[in-house]
Amino acid sequence: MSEGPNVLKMLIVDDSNIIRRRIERSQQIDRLEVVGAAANGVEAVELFRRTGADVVTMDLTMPEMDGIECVTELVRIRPDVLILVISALADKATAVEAIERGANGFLCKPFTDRQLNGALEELLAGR
Amino acid sequence: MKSPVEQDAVARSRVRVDILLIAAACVAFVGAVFIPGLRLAKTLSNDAAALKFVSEQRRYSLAIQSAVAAVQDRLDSGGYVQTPIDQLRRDAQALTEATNRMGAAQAIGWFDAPTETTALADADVKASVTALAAEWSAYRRRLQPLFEFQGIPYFDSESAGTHLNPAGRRLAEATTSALRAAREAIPKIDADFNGIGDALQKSSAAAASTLSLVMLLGLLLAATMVALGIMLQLGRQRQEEAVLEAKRQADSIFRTMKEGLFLLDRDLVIGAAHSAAMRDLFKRDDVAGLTFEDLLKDIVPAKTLATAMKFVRVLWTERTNENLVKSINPLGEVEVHFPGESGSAAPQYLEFDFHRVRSGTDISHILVSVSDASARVALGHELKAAQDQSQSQIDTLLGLLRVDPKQLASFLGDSDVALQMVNSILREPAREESAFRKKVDSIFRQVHAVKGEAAAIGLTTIEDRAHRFEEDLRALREKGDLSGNDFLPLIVKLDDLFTHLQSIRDLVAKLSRLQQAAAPAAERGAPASAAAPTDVDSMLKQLAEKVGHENGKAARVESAGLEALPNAYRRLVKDIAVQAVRNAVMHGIETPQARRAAGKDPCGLIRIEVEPQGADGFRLSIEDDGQGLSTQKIVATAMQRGLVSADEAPTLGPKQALRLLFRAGFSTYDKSTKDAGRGVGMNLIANLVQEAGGRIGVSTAPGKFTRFTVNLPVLQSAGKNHEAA
Repeated sequence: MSEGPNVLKMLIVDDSNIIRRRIERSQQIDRLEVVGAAANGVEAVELFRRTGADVVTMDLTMPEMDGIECVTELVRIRPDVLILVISALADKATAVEAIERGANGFLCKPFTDRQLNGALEELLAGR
Repeated sequence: MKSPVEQDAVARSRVRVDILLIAAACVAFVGAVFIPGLRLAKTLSNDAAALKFVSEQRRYSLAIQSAVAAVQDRLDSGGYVQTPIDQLRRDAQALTEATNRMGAAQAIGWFDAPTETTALADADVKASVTALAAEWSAYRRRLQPLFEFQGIPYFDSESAGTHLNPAGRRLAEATTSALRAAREAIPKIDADFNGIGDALQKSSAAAASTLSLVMLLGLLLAATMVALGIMLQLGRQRQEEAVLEAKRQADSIFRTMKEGLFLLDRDLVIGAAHSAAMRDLFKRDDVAGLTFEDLLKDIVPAKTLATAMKFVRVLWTERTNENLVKSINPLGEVEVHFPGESGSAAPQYLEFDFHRVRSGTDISHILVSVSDASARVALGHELKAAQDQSQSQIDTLLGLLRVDPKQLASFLGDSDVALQMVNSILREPAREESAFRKKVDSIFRQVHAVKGEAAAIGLTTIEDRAHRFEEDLRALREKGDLSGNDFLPLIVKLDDLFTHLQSIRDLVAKLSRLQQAAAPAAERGAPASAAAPTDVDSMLKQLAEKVGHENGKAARVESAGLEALPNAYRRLVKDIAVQAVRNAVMHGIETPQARRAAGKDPCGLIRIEVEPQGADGFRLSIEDDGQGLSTQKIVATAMQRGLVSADEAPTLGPKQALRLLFRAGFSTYDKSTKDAGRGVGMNLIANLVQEAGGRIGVSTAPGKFTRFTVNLPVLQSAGKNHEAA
């Protein structure tokens, strides 16, 4: 994929290697280019600063820095970042808090490829 | 039908068109009627003033002619000429001034006050005015000598009389000349005056006819405006009716729809317009103006409320993608409890859905729809229960496949009898505490037997249910005051057991149909329900194996003479044997290690024998080669349980001590395993035997054996007694 003004850089944040690869392989949005994957919040913030990602998929339960803190930090660094929380829906209160901190949307694990791409399309459309 | 918002916009643009039309009509009226009308009216009034002026002036020409004629007359008669000459001068002066004024007449501006001569500036009139001025000017010159005359035209002498002097002769000549000129000039002047008058009249007439045209036009315009006004009014009425109709329809929708529908403003306050269903859904009338928080706070848990309020607030944030947060809506399916409703009412579930409403690009409201999801959730639960049920049926089925068919048939028959008995015991009237206790004990014995048999053939689903039934009965036994109401929960448990047994029976029926369909006709034997006594034998063997396995012991059963038992005793013997074998394995048989240490076969042996005794009926003996019974231990346990007092204990002989085994409540209650520790085993046996009119005895040798001997009477009476229990 070539660099262009319309291509958005995407960062994947999830502590599971399987999920990270799954998201990277399944996403088929032409405008998105995966520029990095992080296994925890600290790594995510570091990668986010370095790559200047526009779009982030975010797990909530992670070691080091959890998703809620990470969302807060990313939005602080760049208020127009697009964040899709991808997490198991164990506790709606936590999910709502992530949205309150600035995440744009939520996708429930487990998800199908179609659901993932649909959610990413919706995320970019709402921009 | 257009939406109210669209209708509103249409109405507003229509009002704008209305105003424009009215303004245009007014401008047209002013331009086409009012201004020309004013102008024409002015022309008319100018013409009238001018006509009046002109007609006033025309007398001067005649007066001048008369004055000249008068001068001639006086000269002829020698009269005084100065008077007519003065008159002539005044009239000529007046006519000169008049012609000057007429000649100087000019059109005036719109806002100037008209004069009498304004109309004479008109082109048609002007020509006649100019001609008049010229005629008069010419004629006037002929009159000049008359004007200039001064003095007396006569010789003033007696002799000459009144003869003209030279001045007089000149005057006379001038007068004659003037009169001659007048014959030509005066008609012309009169004609000019007439011309002026005619032109003015023509102008007036033209103005008048134009004015009438303008008036007609005005009438037309006015009529058009009235028509337009009526049309607009009608249009507006239709518009208003359409708006009213739309409102009525919206009201009908709000009144009829089953969902709750309302708008939340930025302060999360509920709007005045909401569907009538809100009242039923939230059981209150005052939702309009209420905050969303107040609506929910008494009916959902505090944690859900907090999350819900956060969720609704983030919907106002543009960052939040409305479509990507629907899955985390905490009120997507929420259980609600209304204060003042009893907890036993069916649980209620509401489903909230939120939509942003935009006005332009900004979010103006959140549209909330609420529906009652109770039925759907209940259905979901039922489905789950049905799934569980079918899972449990599969488990049961798999369990059944492992059970010997004959044993199963006999178990089903026996347990049905036992449960029928429980049912009839439950129905027996009872008043006193002791009667209630007796009922509990009787039921316990039946349920316990069912449980034991179920365990023996490996029907765990029945065993579990019977166990739970026993738990309830145990609780009743320990309860202080018993009343009829305490037995009500038992009916539910009994029903559960019946239902479950029925479902097993159905399964068995299906299986047997399958089997019959599959098996060759020749192999079809007697129906499974007519089980031979040997079923008891295999069941007891299985039971011993199972209980042994569960307790780390090994035991086998040998039986003899069971086939000699009449069918009517089968049940009783089985009940006794099940309890006895259970007790033998639990308490009699030692662990394999202990047995090896004692030089015995590691596998314990339980012998069951039935011997017909002729007229004395039957004797059943059940003997294990275990550790035997310790009378001291029995007495100690009985003391612990309060069955014997400390004073009584030492006086008990070995036989009496052994009989303590058969007393109710001998064994412990605290160990609630399914297989032992119930303390009913021996008591149950004793009761069954007693009810059958038989006797039971026990003998033991420490380290060698324990033997229970049951003597059962001959059949007829025994059967009756047993059935009566």
